[in-house]
Amino acid sequence: MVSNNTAIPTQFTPIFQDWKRCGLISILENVIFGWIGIFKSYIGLGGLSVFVFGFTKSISMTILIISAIAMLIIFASAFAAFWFYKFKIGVDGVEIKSGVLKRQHMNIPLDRVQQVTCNKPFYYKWFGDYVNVVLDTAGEAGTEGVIQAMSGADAETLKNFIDIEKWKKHNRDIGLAVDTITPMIDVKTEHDVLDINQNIITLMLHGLCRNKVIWFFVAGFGVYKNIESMIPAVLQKIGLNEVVTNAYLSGSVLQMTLFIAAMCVLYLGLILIFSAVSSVVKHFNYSLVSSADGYVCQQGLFTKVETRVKSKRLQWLLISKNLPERWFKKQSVKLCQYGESILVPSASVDQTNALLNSVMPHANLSSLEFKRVHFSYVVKKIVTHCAPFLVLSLIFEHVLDRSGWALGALIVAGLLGAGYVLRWYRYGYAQDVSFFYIREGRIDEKLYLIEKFKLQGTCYITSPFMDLFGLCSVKLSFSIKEFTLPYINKVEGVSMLNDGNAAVRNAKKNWM
Amino acid sequence: MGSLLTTDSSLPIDFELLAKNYRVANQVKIAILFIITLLGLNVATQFISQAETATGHFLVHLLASYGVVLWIVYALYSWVADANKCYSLREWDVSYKSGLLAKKIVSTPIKRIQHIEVTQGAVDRLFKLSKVVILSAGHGFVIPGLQSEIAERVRQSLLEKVKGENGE
Repeated sequence: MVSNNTAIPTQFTPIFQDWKRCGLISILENVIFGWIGIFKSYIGLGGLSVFVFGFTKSISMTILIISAIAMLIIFASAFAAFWFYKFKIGVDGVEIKSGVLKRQHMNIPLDRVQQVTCNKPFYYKWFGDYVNVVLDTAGEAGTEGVIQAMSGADAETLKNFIDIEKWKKHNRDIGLAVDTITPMIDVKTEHDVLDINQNIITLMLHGLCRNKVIWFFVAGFGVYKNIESMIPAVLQKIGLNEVVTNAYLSGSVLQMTLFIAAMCVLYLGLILIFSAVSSVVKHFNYSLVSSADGYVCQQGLFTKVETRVKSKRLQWLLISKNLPERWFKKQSVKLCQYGESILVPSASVDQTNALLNSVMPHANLSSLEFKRVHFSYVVKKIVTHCAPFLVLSLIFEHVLDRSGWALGALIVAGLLGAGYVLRWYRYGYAQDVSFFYIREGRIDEKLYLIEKFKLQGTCYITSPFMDLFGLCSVKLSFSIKEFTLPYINKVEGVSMLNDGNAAVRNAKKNWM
Repeated sequence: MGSLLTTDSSLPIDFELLAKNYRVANQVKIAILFIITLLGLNVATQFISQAETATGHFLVHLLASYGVVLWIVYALYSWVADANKCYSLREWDVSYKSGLLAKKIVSTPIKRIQHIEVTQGAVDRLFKLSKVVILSAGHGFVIPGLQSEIAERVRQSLLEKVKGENGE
């Protein structure tokens, strides 16, 4: 990529000035997507079931003919999609013409392209060095342009061309000659070099930890063995004797309930295994390295995906860990930007520190003191959300004489209350000269590191209830997320808003 | 409130109230909404056979009474709350304040404004009012109830400030 010591080639000739079609291999991809699309529908599933049934009983000629016709239709559609798809790339932008029945002509100006990502399905490598080029924009549609089956060399040329044209436009906008080397990008020094790789064990761990069903599996497995004697004992202890002797809790209904619970636990266990496998497939051969102006992540077993994040486009860093990840001293780190973000699955403490030093060297987590939101937040939530269920419980018990329903309402109130207490416990905020640090979550903990100058807007809320305690609520809006800090000290809230706005005013660089 | 959200350069926020006839225009909108809802409910009950029974009649009247009470409460609240709505245009940001019990101040730095729009609904046109819509990436708000000329001036002023911030 371009560095401070490299001259920009002024005679760069774009290679896609004329209309071009995608590579022939894109027909195969369209066929695969066509089949996947059909089998995702009930018609496809029903047809597949009939086909399999026919195969196991006897090979029915009718089924074979229908399958052959379906195959022909899919192939014809795939070929038509390939034939009618053309693209052209010039200094004004990317033009794509596509569609068979519904024709579409798309224009994507170069400065709207936030990121160029390449992915490589596993079947491409049998036919040569081909990739799919995905042009990410910041529009609501998200990914807007996909060019299938481009040769690897052409894709690299395209990425460089887009970067260089944007570089030239930047120079023109600030009144410089187009070939002037300007410090538009942050060139990484030796100390900032990042190189993270994750092995298969770490990836499997990531799949297991990220899936919350591990909780139910662990809890269910431990409780199931004694559950038959546990339930009546608990109910007797809390004085619901009627429920214990009620016909609904005896005999075959209890047995059936326990059987269903056991099946659920088994099903959840299977989901866990699939989670681990899918994590390995998705993040296979994971590597994250720093480039001249950002970071490049490559991963994937069947489809190799390359994602690039430019440093200046980074919106925030997210460090998240749930309880299983804490047991294994791991955390997931995400580099968030408009469009595709980069996730570092199950990063170790050293890897996280290396990432922080590289991505946000001025952030200082070690000396941070997080402040919690005021406890009145919990009180308000309990009064407004849990109290109705408590009232319902009393009505069920004393008016309608339905102890089971009363217990249910009580459990719901208890779970909601526990959730809000946990959420309050996690809610934390801090700031320094350049960053906001926001912590949230319930059992999982999420920590956001956001540069103040990326602020897009603020909201400040007070009420008579909050005034009693000298509190306020503050909302900090950024480009892809809004952070709410409810019931915080008024002086601190105002300070956060003022500091954020001052950082925006004094910022020398663009927020994106 | 004047010293709230001041910065180190210590310019207080001077809020300006919305147009005087905004409250009336808002009440007209609320009344239209209520009438449409009532008509809709009346038409719907013609097609519900259960509405012809005594219980049905009772439920329909209960719903209608509840609706009327709700409308009166909402109209009264809006009448009082609309008097406190105001906006502020400073050198580096634009703010809008609203709310009666829970007071809210929404702000956007001028540097972050991506899109400014002036819109005018049918009722607004009768009262010669307009709304200014201010959007940044992932954030936005509306300043309602401005006289049309003032709304246009606010829009122009914001556009000039945005151009100035972007060095154009």
